[in-house]
Amino acid sequence: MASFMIKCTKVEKGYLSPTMAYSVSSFTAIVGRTVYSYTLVPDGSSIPMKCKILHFYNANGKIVDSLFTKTYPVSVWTAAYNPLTDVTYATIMAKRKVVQMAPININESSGVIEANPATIYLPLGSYTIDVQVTNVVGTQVLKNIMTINLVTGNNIDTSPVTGSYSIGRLWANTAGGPANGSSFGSFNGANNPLLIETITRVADTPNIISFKFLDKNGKPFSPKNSEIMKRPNSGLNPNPPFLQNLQDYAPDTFVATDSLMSLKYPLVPFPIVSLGNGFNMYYRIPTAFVHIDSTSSWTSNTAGNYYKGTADTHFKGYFKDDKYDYSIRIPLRINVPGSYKITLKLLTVTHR
Amino acid sequence: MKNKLIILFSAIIVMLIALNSCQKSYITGDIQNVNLYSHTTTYDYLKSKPVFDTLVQCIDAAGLKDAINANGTTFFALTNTTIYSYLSVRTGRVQSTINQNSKWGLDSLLYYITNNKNRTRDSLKMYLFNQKLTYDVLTNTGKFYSSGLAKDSAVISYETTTDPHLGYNSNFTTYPKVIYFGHVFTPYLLNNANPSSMIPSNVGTRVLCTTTGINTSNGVVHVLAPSHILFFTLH
Repeated sequence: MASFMIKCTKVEKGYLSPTMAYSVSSFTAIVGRTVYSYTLVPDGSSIPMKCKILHFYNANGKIVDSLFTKTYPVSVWTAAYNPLTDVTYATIMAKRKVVQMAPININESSGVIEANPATIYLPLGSYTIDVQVTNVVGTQVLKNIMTINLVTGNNIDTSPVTGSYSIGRLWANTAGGPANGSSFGSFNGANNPLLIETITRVADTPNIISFKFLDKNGKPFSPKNSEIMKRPNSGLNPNPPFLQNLQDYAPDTFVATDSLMSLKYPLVPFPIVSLGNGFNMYYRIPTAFVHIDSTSSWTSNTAGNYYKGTADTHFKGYFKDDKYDYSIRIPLRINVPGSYKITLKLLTVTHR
Repeated sequence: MKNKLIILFSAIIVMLIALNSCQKSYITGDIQNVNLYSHTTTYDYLKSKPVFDTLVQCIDAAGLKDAINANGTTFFALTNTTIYSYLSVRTGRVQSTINQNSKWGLDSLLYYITNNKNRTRDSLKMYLFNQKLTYDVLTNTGKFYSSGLAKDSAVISYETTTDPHLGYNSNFTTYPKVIYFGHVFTPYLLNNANPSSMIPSNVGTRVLCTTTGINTSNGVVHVLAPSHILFFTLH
C-alpha cells in the first residue's frame, strides 16, 4: 500500500535550474570568422528551452545592445555542401545566399553563441551578456553568464599559421631537384628571408583575391605567358593531377593576366577543403624566365630579416641559366571575406 | 542426478555447435583442388585470370608463350600490381630527371620488352624455371635454382613460418609452410645454419608467394605477392 502511495506522488511538470552555466564561460571570437562558443549546460533543466540574449555590456558595464542588434549582409548556406561535387564558384554560390544578420546570435535551443563574419564591423573588446532561458517551468535570466572577447586575427593565414613559404630549385622542367638543393638558394621554414609578402585588404566586397609575383627589381612575372606555372603531381595517374594551386581551387573564376592571377572565391575559409597536404599552393618559374641567386645554406631566420642581394653574407653568386626552375610553395587560407591583393617579391630572382 | 543430466546436455549442445561450426570451410581450412588447372596450360591459366592480364600482355610482347608452356617448367606469376609498381617507379624516375609531365606507362614497358631494350625481354625469364618446383622438391633451407635468364639464379625455399599473419599460432604443433622466391646481390652460402629465411637485407631480397602449387598441364605456377616490383626494382 505504502509503495503505491509513493508512486502516486504528483510530479512537478518540469525543472529550470538556477545554476545553468556555459561549460567554458568566456568565448574568444576572431572577428570576421564564423565561430561557435561552448554549449550552455542546462543542469537538468527541462527541454525544449528557448534561449535569448537580453543584453550586451561593454567592459565598463554599460549596455551596448544597439551595437549588436544592427544587421549586416552575411552569406549563408541554403543546402548541404559537398566538397566532391561543389568545386566551382557557380555550384557553391547556387547553395549560398546573403541574409541580413546580427553579428552575434544565440542558438535558441542549445544556447551556443554564434559569431559570423559580420563581427568585423564591431569594435574589438570584451563584452558580457545576459541570457534569458525559458522552458515549461518559466523564465530565468542568467546575468553576465558569458564573456565574449572580440579580437583580431589574420584575414588571411599564410606562414607560419597554415604552413611556411618554401623556395627551392628543380632541374629544368622536371619534378626532381639537385642533391645540394637544400644547401644553396633555398629556404623552407618560418620567416622566409628570400621573399617579402605583402597582403592588402582592399575592400569588404566582392570576394576576390589577386596574386602578383615580382622579381627582386619589382618586375612582375606573367602567369598568362606561363612565366609562373602550376606543377604536375607525380606518378602514373595522380589524383589530383596537379599539386595544389589557385586555379584548381577556383577553376571557373581563375584569371591569369600579364601581371597577376586572380580569382573570385565563394566562401570562407577559402580553400574550405584541401586538395592535397594542408593549404599550400605550388608554383614554378620555368628557367627560361629567370636568373636565380645562389645563397649559402640558410636554415632559420628571424622575423623582418630579408635577403639583401649581393650585399648579403649569404650571397654566393648566380646559378647557371637554363639549368634550374625556381620553385615556390605558398601557404594560403583566407579567413575573412573581402577583396585582397597579395604581392610576393621574390628576392633571389631576376626576370629575364 | 539432475546435475549430471545438465552437464550431459550441455556437453551435447556444445558438441553440436562445435560440429556444426566446423562444417564451414573457412574454419576447417578447406584444401583447394591443386589439380583444378591440370588440363590447362600455364599460359591459358594466366590468361583466364584478370589479375594477370598485364602479365599476359608482357608475355605476348616477349614472345614467351611457348617457353612458359614448355613441359616441366615452373613459372612465378606476377600480378598486375607488381607491374604497376614498376611503371610507377620508372615514371617517378623520368619525371624527376627528364620531364615533369612524362609517364612511363605500359606502352613503354611493352615497347621495351618487344625490342628487348635494356634486356627487359630476357629479364622476364628470371621468373621461369625449366624444372617442376613442387612442394616435394623445395626445401626448408632453400636452394639456388638457375632461371631462364642466363647466369641468373633464384633462391627458392618452402619453409616453415612463425609469422602469425601467415597462419602461425603457438597453439598448434604443426607450423605453416610458405614458398619464398628470392634473389641475392652478393654471394651467400646457403646451408642449414644459414637458410634462405636468414638472408640479410643487404645481401638479398625475398618475396613471399601468396598462392602456390598450381599444377597446370605443363608445369607449376606460384604467384608472387603484390608487394614485389617487377625485376626486383628498387624504389
